[in-house]
Amino acid sequence: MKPSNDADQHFHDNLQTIGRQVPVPNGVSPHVRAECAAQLGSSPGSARVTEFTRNRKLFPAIGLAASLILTAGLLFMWSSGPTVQAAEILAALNEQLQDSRLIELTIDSLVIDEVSISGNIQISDDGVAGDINVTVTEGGGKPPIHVDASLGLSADGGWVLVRELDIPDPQVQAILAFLLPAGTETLIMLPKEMLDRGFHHDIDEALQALGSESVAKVLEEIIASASDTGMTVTPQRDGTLLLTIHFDDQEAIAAMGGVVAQALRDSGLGDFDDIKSDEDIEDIENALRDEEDLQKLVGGTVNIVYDQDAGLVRSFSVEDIGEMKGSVTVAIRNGSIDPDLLDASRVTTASTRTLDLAALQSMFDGFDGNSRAARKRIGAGRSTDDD
Amino acid sequence: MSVMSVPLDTKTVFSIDDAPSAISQLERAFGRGADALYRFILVRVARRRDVADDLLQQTCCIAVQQNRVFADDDECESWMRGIARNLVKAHWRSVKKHNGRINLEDAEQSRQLLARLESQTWGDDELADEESIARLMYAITALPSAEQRLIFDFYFDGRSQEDLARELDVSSKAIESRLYRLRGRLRAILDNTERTNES
Repeated sequence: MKPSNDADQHFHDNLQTIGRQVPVPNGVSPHVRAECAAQLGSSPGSARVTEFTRNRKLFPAIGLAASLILTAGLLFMWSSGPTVQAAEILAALNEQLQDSRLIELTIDSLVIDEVSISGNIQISDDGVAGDINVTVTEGGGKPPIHVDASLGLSADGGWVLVRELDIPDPQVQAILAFLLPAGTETLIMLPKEMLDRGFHHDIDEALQALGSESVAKVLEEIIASASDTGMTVTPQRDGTLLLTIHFDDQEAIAAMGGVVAQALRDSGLGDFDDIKSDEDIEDIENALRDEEDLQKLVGGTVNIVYDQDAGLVRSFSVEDIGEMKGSVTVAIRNGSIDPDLLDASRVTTASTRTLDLAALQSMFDGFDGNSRAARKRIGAGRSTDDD
Repeated sequence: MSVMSVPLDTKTVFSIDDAPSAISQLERAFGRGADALYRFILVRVARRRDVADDLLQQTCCIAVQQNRVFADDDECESWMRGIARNLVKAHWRSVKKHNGRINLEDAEQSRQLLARLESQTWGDDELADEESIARLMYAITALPSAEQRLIFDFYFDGRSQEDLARELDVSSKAIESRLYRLRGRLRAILDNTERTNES
């Protein structure tokens, strides 16, 4: 039945009101999109299909391992790994993170497969800021992709200072040429509308996704069971405890998985109520022994600095796990990001451009096969140095 | 490019040797409708992004395994939504706690929402009603990707009809007509008179 004009006008007006107040539900994140595209787009003859094992009992122990690796890997910015498990196991850190509201990732010569990353990134509910240097060596004699950049993102706006950007692919070069003058350090200002709507929500979600209950119970259980898992607990001069976990072999990982599972069961955390009996924990240990992918953890080391008096983890560091060489330290602190790190006016550069969202969309559309049209549309983007 | 490639929760289960046409169609359908498909899932799993990430990837896995070829990309997109819908249902069956879940399929509640959207001007009280907003999102995300995008672009991102007309290379009047028709489709979904992927 056709609506009356009044009814349709109300509907239209209300949709506008709602649209102004309610953020658009998140689209798919880049790393999930990339994983899906990889599954769908593998070349004929070599397409590999991945099946996700959703064994809830396996989750806590695999999740711990995954979380350590993912934390190391710029947790929500670059990883394409199993964020599901990472986020859920880090759930135990929630209370602490909610109070602290600032985590700092220090990445030192981290190499994962063909990707090398160094940098320092601070994340809090004020925003995200830091420096990052990424090199991707594709092999086959191809020149590497290299990005050296700083960024500051907050609800008030954002910027990315691209100091170096080397991308050998001529098609990508052609598209980026409209955004970035070749060979010039460029400050790209991100429009406020790109960040204000839902930005706080996203950061909040990212931090809150890390958990729902206290880490202290779990860590205390782990400390109490250290002798079973080959961990060492060393009191430090400053009163903190240094937990060192070295994954000598897969058995050590399985044992630790069992301990973590037991700790989670005993902690009564709602998310882990699938773990009930000793048999459940044994199942987890056995599964971890058989899990080929966990071989990647063997040889790695995790250090956790735990302030027992305060019941707080001060930092994690992860070294040389599997294909990941180098180290990552994750510090958890009180406070907020240094405002200077978010302030674009402190950046002096020869070239400044303002990103045009429509142009950006066109740029990605251009990858679907119409790059000429995309390049034409990108030409609509503004640049202050051209003015 | 995969920066982190540590598939701790995955197992490679088989290979496909000869499925080029199906895969390229899936790629196209996914390429243009990934966000819409993701939102379709996200809204239906109480906005749990971890779950939505997982289900989207499972949707793609199943789609590749099925190795089907479709008359056109619209049909392929609709089929992928069907897979996603089944996975969402399986998800809710598998979890014991339904925290944050709203029974969005309650037809009477949807009709009441439609009546309120058509008869009164919404203010802060209505905007604070999460269930109503969730129900509306449920209807919007039931639309195919192009329609969904138009609704979000115009009503939520505040883009003008002229801007959208330029992008889509049509007249402003055409955009106005499309929006009118889309309101009609939303109305039909809320009124439970249009068959959707949920039906």
